[in-house]
Amino acid sequence: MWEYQKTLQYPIRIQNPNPLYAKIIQSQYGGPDGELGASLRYLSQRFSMPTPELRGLLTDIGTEELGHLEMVGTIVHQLTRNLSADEIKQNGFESYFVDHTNGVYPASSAGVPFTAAYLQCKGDAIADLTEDLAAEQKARVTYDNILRLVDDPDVRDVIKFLREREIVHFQRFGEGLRLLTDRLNAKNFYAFTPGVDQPVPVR
Amino acid sequence: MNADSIKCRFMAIRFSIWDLHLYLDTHPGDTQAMQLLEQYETQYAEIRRQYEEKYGPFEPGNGEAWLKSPWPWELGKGDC
Repeated sequence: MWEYQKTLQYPIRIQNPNPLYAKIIQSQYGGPDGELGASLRYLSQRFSMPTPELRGLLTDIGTEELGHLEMVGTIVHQLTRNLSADEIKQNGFESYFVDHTNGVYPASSAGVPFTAAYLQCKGDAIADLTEDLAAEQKARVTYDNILRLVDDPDVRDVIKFLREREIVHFQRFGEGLRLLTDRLNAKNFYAFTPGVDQPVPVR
Repeated sequence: MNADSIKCRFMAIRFSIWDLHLYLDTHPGDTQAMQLLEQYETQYAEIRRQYEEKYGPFEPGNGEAWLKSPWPWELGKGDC
């Protein structure tokens, strides 16, 4: 289970609303490489992880991603507060506003609603961890793209923090994959499904 | 950003504990990291008490104080 803690992982205080920036950063809420997909991916994949380290790692990184979802939602919320009708019409924000007003809805920057098709849960630890490594890199690239598009230092500071976390998670998933392959037959990594064909000994 | 403020120190220590926790998932035998974690946890108990005194409850169960203290997405006065 989870219990809520009333704080963000990193403080967010954005002074100046900006609907264009909100529309860009929205993608990390409910877009293809966003935090909602990340949390659901890891929290779903952990059920079939064959070792305690991997069960712990996916639980903890999945939990942190829920915290990042809250952070991205906070950025979008603070960027869209107190907007005038004119500000809404600028920057193409009216197409979002007409359906969601100032609510934070999980969709991509282009308006595509979130879908579970953004993630996989293959039940094979090597397949799933390899996807997780790619997912962290894709999220890091998205944050880099946001940094290319956004000038506001209040926003950039938080995006840089989130970008760093993708790098740390990539490192941890790499270690997790190595811990797994160290326990498998090196001649046979990819020819069977760990946990199904030949269970990894549980410590 | 005022790194000396209670809120900043609270968030920094919480974050350090969390990041060590992830590290220990893949390095469960690292005694040096375990010692560092214990140090941070000792500091955390005190800073959390100070934080809750100033900013209100951090976890649910406090009735009105829980509801009325600022929510994380609200644009607070911000000393952090």
